Amino acid sequence: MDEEPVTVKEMLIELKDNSELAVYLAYSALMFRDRTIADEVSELEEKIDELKARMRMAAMLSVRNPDDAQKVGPLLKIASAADRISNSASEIAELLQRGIQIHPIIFEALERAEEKVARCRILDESELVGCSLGEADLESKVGMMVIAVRRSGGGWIWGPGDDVKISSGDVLIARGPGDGSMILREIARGIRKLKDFGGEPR
Amino acid sequence: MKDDPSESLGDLILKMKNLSELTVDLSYTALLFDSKEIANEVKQLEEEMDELYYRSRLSILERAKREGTEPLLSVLQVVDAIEDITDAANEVSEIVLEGIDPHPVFDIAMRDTEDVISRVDIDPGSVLIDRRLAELKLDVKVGVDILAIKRSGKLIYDPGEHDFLREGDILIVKGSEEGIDKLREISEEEEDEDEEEELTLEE
Repeated sequence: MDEEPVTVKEMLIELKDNSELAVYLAYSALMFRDRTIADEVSELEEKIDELKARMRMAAMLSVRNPDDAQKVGPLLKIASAADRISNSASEIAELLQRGIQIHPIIFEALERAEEKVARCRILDESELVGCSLGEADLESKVGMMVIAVRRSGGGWIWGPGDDVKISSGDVLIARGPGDGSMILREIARGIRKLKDFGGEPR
Repeated sequence: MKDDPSESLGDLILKMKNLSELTVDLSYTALLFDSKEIANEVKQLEEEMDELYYRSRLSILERAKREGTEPLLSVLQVVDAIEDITDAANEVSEIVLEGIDPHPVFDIAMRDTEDVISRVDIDPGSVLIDRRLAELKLDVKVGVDILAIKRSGKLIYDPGEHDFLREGDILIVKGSEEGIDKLREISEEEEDEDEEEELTLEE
């Protein structure tokens, strides 16, 4: 596990980001029929379980009087709700993991969604290698927002900031329009260049 | 479109998926910004989801008569999960409506996120009226995403490129504060012969 959130604030933001991501990824797993994305949803779900436990502990430790107790109530409620969101997301992903026969109408419906989530590995040939996300500016060039980066050495960066540098072997997870997903995958493989979409990396 | 009787199960699943993503997004936002307005939107979305959930189950049962039960199990599992996601998201924003003093951490958390969610009204005479989203490209030009459009009491969630903006629309938008301010400025511009020019200035 990478660096852990310490403060309640950080835990809350992690809960929010991870449960949102679990939902996006669960739908993408189904859409791509991709078991590895489904496995990522399970990992997120476990991470949220752990966050929820730590949030509870932090809440209990912080209570010294009835006033405090009233304040931590909402925090616990959020942790439970985030947990429920991720549990449901992983139930969607489980369809793939358990090898249950999935009705074609589900794929048909998800494929029609305007917004897609793309998952792509950065190859050596890609001009993104060595760029920061801010320099690559994928959001305004190809309309794709990077929601997570998996480092080639393991470990995730959730909701990565502009200063995160892309290395060869990283896996990017990004959301945006269907065309953008396709273009991003090609850029990641070095088949296409950013300059075709509004300039080279800054 | 909502009341179309020929609406297929696939349409329902797609709507439910979009609605659940929007609800999750908005619910945390309501919380982080301590916004009763957005929390109320979430509540309405959740009610809409209940309705879609009901119709999807009817449709699943109907299909099961023709196809047998087993192939439909996966669909049932998906719609159950989607409904539950939305329900849980609603619990998050309910905290705002319950009027419990938000934990001070929410204020801090709020300041830390770059994007804010806000509403922008399309007033009569605005240059944005009767423009197609594809043409406005607000996401590229001002960095603002339209999460939903509220029009005559109904919410159009996750509007697509082909949707138009109309007079009286309330947009629920997500973006940087500057971006949203810019959008408000554009929206307040009155329609006149220079409109094309003014819009391109926002490039």
